[in-house]
Amino acid sequence: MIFTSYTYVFFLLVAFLLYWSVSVSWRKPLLIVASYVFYCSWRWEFGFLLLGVSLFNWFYGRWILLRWPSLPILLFGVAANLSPLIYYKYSDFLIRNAAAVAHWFGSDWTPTAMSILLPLGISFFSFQGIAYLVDVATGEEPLTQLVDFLLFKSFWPQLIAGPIIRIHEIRRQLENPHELDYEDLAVGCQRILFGFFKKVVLADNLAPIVDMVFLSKGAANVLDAAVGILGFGMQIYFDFSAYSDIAIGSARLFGYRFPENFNWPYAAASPQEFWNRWHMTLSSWIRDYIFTPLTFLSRDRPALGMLWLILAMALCGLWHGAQWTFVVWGVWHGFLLAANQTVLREVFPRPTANNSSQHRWKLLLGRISTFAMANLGWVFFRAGSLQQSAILLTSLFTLRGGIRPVIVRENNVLIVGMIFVAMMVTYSLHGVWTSWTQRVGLGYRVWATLRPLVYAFIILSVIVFDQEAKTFVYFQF
Amino acid sequence: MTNAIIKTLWDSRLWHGPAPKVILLLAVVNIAVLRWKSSMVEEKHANLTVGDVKALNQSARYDYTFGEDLLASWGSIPDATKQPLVVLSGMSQMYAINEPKPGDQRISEWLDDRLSLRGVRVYGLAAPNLCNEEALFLLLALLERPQTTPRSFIYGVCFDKFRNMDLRPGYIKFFLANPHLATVWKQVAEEQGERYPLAAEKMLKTFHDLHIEEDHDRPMSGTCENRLRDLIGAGVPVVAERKYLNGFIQNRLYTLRNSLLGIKNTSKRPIIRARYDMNRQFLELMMDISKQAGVQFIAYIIPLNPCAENPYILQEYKEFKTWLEDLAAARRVPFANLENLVPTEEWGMWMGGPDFKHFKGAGHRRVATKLEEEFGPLLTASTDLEAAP
Repeated sequence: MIFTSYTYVFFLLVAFLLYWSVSVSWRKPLLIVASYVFYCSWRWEFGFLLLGVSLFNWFYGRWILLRWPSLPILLFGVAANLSPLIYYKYSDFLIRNAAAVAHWFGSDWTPTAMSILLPLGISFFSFQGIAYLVDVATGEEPLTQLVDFLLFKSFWPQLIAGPIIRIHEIRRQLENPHELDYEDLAVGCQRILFGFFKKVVLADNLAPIVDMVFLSKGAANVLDAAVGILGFGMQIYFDFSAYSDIAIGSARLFGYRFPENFNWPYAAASPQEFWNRWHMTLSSWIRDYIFTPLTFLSRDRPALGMLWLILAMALCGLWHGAQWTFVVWGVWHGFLLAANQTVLREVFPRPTANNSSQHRWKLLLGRISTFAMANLGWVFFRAGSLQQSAILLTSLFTLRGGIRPVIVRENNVLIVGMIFVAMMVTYSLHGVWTSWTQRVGLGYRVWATLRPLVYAFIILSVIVFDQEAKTFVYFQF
Repeated sequence: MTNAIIKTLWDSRLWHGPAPKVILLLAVVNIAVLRWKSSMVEEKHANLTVGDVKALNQSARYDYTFGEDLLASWGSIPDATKQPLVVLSGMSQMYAINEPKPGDQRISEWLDDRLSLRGVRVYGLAAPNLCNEEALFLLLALLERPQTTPRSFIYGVCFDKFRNMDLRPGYIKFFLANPHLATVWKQVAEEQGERYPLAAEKMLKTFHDLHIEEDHDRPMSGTCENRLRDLIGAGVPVVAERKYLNGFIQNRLYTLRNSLLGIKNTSKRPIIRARYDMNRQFLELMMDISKQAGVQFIAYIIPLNPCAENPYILQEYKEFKTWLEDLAAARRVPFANLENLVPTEEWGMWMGGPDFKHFKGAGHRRVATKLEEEFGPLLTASTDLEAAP
């Protein structure tokens, strides 16, 4: 069931009405059942996997880890969470690479492709399970009620593509019943609507232009490459942040508040800030459960910190997909973060209240360079192979093929350019707009008049542009 | 409904907020769409048929849905097990009649009139801007069953369609309804990967996209989603007419783009090299597949209006014609260049200027006559193919 489908809207409506109609004691079981219906609508068999992983983590956290807290016990729990992920997602990759190494040593072992179907959301619920066990091992109280834990693991808005919810972020909400509130309803609907618009109108219309560039082998020239890369940078942002908007909005309708996952990432003035704004729940997960423990273990040798940073980001890349292109993408960001803290430390602005013109210039340069570097990274993320990444980057930096596009048309260049400019203008004005419309006065009255028109426009755009519900890019992870 | 919902419904913020106004605005838009619906349908049909709304009959000698709903028109293909079948495929020139008059017919109809006297039926399978990937799809779909397997497949090759790719929704629908065709499609892509890498890669992408959709649809949404859309569409005109509205908006955006960028019908448009190469491979693949299946593949370069400026860059077009002629000779594919066949007076006007691609009824008749002259003996004779070198 895709979020931007009529089926999902219907499902959400029915779940909402039922949830607020039954007595409080039935609400959580109802949400669990609805979550499993949502998950099993794709493939019912994998519902058992989700249930099995959930029961294991609940039991292990409450009955094993709490009683015998030790590193080996924790590591066993982590390994148990990782094993389905490794089997479903990385078996083929590992075997293919083992065969490549074996070939290198003269072996003629050629394994057959395993073609294992990847369960939806496995990367997300595996990471959530690991975080839960680590948190319990480091002093967080485990959830005592099985129903709370099952809901924590399976609640559908976050199940497939995050945000990766951690226990301390939702414990209170799980343990304390809440009432339906107009504020929750209004904000929830608004977030869902914005999510639909970003996905259906923006991301899905950028996709064919991006596909054109990345599908063609070796023919892209500088303008094609630039349009494809910039287009994909925007496509994945709109696509993934749309998913997060719909997830956050859907949870809000049931009174649950999820952490934000995006905060204008392309406005970041340094690579470090970029990762504080992009896929925030994943970057904090990587920081807390990979980078920090590694740094702590080698605290006597601080120089290793940079190495751990690059390793953590390489694993972040591998988490996105079992391909070397994703690893290179992660390593690229690892190097950027390492450079941000070392050689380029003075280049990128640091958070400060300084409003001097020198700081403003630094901020602007930091934003432009961070945006450019983040977008260069997308080449590895989107390309089918390292070879294709190299071809696109060569075209980009050597101006190969001249500047007249040979893959995309001029109007596609215009579309990508216009969406980019609109995104920048929206970011530049949103602070002013928010403060203007929230003050009682002319701004507030103008917005009150315009708001219904804007919402109606968004709804109509979504209906008209939605020819078919397309899958979200992050579903594959 | 319980207290929680009722309480929220009575919240004054709800009624003083934007929600009631949004609902009101949407109601107004729906009423407007309902009123404009008929004119939108007419406009769309006019665009498809170049002004010939009345010609949208279901005489069933060609795909009367113009690729919009192949499933619906597929049954009208004459049974090839009863008499030999010739399929004429290509872009809008095959069916669009400029300045139509009573009694006008399309190329496939004229050809059918003539060849049916000799026991051969002709059927037109054309759609606007048909690209070679789609033509290959039609060929493979025809080869699926003996009842639709043609003796000859005539393909009107159009240079600027070498910039297009992807299957249109009407074909995708057909694809999803015929899982075996999807398997064949994948098989062809895998087998031809080395010889035609660009075409094979695109075919696999098409297959992959369809496969994902199927996966995510399974087991509920495939039917549930469509039913839900139809159900909502029955009560909400904007939902029912979303495709027309989309086309309407795209058309306006296209016109706006043209006026902003000063693009005219005759503005020179260089080929998109990557797509051009891919479409060339698709055409070669069609020739191979036809040969394997014992189907006579026939290619011709479509006529162009001699008095209208076309958007081609002369050198590129010249290279294309030479390439196609050489290819046909190398593969021993019957070939004709009909570029200058239709005289000026048999072309009409389009968008304020001479139409360079769609001719009047007389043009259809002339092309049919020429095709019969050039390929008649092949179309009516036995289908033994000469061995290729």
